[in-house]
Amino acid sequence: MLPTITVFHKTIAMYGLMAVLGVFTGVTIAILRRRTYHFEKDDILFASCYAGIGLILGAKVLYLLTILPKLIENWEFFISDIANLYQILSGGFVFYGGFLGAALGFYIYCQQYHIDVIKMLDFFAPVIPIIHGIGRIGCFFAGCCYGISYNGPLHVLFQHSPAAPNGIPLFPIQLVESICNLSVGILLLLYAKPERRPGKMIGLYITSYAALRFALEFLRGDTVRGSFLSLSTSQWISLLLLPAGIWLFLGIRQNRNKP
Amino acid sequence: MENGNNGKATASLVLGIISLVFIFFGTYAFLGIILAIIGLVLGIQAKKEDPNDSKARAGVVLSIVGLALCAVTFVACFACIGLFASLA
Repeated sequence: MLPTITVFHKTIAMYGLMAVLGVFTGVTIAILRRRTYHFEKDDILFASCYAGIGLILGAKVLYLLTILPKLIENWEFFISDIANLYQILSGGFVFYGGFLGAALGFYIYCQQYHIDVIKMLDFFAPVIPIIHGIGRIGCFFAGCCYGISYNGPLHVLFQHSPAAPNGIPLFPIQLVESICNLSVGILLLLYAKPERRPGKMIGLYITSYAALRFALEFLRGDTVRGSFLSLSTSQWISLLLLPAGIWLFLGIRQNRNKP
Repeated sequence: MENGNNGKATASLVLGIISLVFIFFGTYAFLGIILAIIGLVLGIQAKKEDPNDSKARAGVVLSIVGLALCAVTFVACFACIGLFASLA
């Protein structure tokens, strides 16, 4: 669609640009609504930095795990030229890896500076799908994470995409996932209140996204990603996260502590 | 303790500045990402120990800007797809 733009004679990938724009928007929203949860501005900014580092590392590590068989099979090819290693590092990020990495980043920051990690995750719950929704628009521009072959209304036809099959009508899964994510984010922003039971907000986000992602994966056409027993890696992670999200949302965590 | 904090703030500032330089080195922008991450962690630690440390604040800001710009330069989702296509 529009994989790159040129700014001052420098080519910039829209995927990376939209990802950074998403993070910037999310952190700005978090800073603006920090007083409702009685957080300091520095804590929001610094926790976001830790989460951002975890996001980059987690998304990359999970991607490398999904292509591990291919990596092992072609190991000599990858180490023969630094350009091949560079391409492996710069391309390919898996959202769930980023989410788990960001959660780990929040956990490390909260442990280091004695902040309630569940309260922090509840606060950031509406921001995560907003960042993800904006990032998915970058996928659409690049043509990656494309949908199944589809000839119905609102299909998309890539002509010069480096990732999607060009000239074949496809289901616009990137935009559908983006709209779903932004809708979840807005609904969570409206639902968010600090007096809600700890874990409810992050539980609601995990539950809704895991269910959404499991269903939307059937409309994905990029079969290059790993799969097991005809389900993709993301669908297996969704199945693992769904009960965890319901557990947090229903408040089992708190009820177990009651006498 | 004060010297240690000052050292972290200075290191954060220096790493933040160097990470900004890597924006112009194209394929080596990932080195800028690594330096910015280290600068960010050191800057945050220094700022937490002394909230009024302006050098730490500058280090954090420059590291964030360096991380964001190096990420924009470096990250391209489709880069690896061409690589796997060449293997097929």
